[in-house]
Amino acid sequence: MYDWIADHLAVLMFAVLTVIMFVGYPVAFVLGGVALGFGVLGIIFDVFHPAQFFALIPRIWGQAVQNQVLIAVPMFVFMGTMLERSGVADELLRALQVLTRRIPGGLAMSVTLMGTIMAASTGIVGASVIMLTLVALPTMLQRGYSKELSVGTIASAGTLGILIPPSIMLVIMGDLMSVSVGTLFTASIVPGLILSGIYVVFIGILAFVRPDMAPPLEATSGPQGSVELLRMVLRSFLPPAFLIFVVLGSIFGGFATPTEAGGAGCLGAILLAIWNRRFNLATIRAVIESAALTNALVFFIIFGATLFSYVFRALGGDDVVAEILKALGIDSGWEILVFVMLLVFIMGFFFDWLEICLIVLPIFAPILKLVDFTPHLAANKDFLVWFLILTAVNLQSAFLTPPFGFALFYMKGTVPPSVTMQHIYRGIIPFVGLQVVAVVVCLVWPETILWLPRRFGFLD
Amino acid sequence: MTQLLALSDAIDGVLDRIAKASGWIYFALIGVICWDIITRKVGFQIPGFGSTPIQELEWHLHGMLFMFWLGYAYVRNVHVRIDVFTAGLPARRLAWLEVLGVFLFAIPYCIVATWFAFEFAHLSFIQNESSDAPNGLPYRWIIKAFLFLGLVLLCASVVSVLLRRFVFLFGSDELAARAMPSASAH
Repeated sequence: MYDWIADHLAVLMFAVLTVIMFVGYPVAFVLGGVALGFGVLGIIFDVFHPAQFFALIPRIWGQAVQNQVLIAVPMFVFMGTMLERSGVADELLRALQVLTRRIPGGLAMSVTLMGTIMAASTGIVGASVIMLTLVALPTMLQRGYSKELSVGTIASAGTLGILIPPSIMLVIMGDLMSVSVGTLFTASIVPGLILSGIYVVFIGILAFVRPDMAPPLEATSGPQGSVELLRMVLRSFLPPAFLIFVVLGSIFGGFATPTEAGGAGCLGAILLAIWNRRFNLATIRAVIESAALTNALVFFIIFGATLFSYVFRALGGDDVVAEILKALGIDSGWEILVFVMLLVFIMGFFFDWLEICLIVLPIFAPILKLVDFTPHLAANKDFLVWFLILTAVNLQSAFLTPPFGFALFYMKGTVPPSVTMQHIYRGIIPFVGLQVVAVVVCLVWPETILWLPRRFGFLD
Repeated sequence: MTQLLALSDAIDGVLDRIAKASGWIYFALIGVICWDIITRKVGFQIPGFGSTPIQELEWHLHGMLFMFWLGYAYVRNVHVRIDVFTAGLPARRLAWLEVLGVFLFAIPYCIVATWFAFEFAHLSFIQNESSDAPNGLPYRWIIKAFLFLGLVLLCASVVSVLLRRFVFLFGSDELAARAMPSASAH
């Protein structure tokens, strides 16, 4: 018994963490506290040396502080927050609504587009779904959209934002797994476009077949003359679209690192706020506060997760995981892939991507580096890129799958009482179906993920 | 009880002021990154202050930025919680859970991390540590001291949260309402 516990402390640690996180205490503290507790247990069982505690702070230092890549996180958060608080985002949404007013379901489509652009400002799925619900749901319901279609569109758009760049999830994934962030950004574009593309097509068809669910806007809403329309496009649509294009383009073209592109993007967002005459002290204070708080919550979890994975590894976690997988009969590449995907999927019911990526990826990274996918992938070195984007696409459906879906809880807390859990479940099901299609496409044809980064020369 | 609540308010006030003041680092960081891009693309650099020290300055600034906000974020209750099963519990039980969490997780974490962060900065100071890069920034202990300082502020935030829960649980109704206005409302 004693020996068994000593050998399996790492597994117990993972199990204890998963259970305790549900108590509702801040995850960052729980991660750190559990790590310390099991460090002490490890000393008692003689598998952890007290001197190893000295490595804790240097680990945090290297992972969270002295890290050039992760500076992209506060930059993208600031950029998104500035666009949001200075009204640039609102005007963009309005311009999109006007531009799509003659298309069936245009309002829903504009929300999908909006969600992908704005997700960076909130950083995490929970906050991004809340923000979109507050911004878009009242308008959609007021224009006579069905509750189901409204909540389905908003929840799927809110989670899509974590996949499409500038996504801070991809920044953190790349940093954790030593894959270039530019590669992940380019690799996520095609799957992201597939997803948003099939959402838009679905909404369009639905609105065409069932106009009662998505009534068209009156043609009288918004500007009438073509001059006025042109002015709206020039003023509200082009500047932010150009900003996003420049930021992403400079990364894809290899002109700038994500950190540099993020810094330049912040400057661009500030200039847009000035152009919009909303760059005043109140806005600046609100932007700093919101962005710095989001940034602090992200980095505090990185602190905790760094401690956790250090102790997990020191307790022999890598070997135990390999041993357990072998005992379960999981040793070929496909079996490991499916296992990790299932685990991520189940965790996605309850946890945001921060916890999932920061806990699961370090645990499985050593095994994933060993698997061989050569018949399926042209070159095995591209495996990690494929795997990470696959995880990101998989997380999309994990967050939305009833009855648990992480994003759905947040949605329920924000919607008006007239929208029930039943509406949310019914609304989300078609979108989950579409996501499954996307996951299967990315699994069966890895080139959907790997083609674009190869074209840009990221995989050479 | 009144003094405990006053102490908690005072801590929150200090954390708030430090965080808000250090928030302006955001603009410095954006400025430094843009400066780095421009000087490298143009090919002009201040002699002796090329890209290496500038890029080190970037993570120095970012470190200060988030470390001063860790504790404030706890006081403001923005740190991520998995509260799907506990969100509906009565306010008193939630307060007890928070107290439990503080003692089980936050206090050990804060003590250990703050202590080792002090040793970490202290060692750097004694060795007069500099950047590994030949022309990097000197005085590495300064930024390492900020890690220690940030963790001290985190400790202060834990004390403040604990005091607030204590007043809420054991104080008079009037004090409890002042300690946690949102929880007392329903």
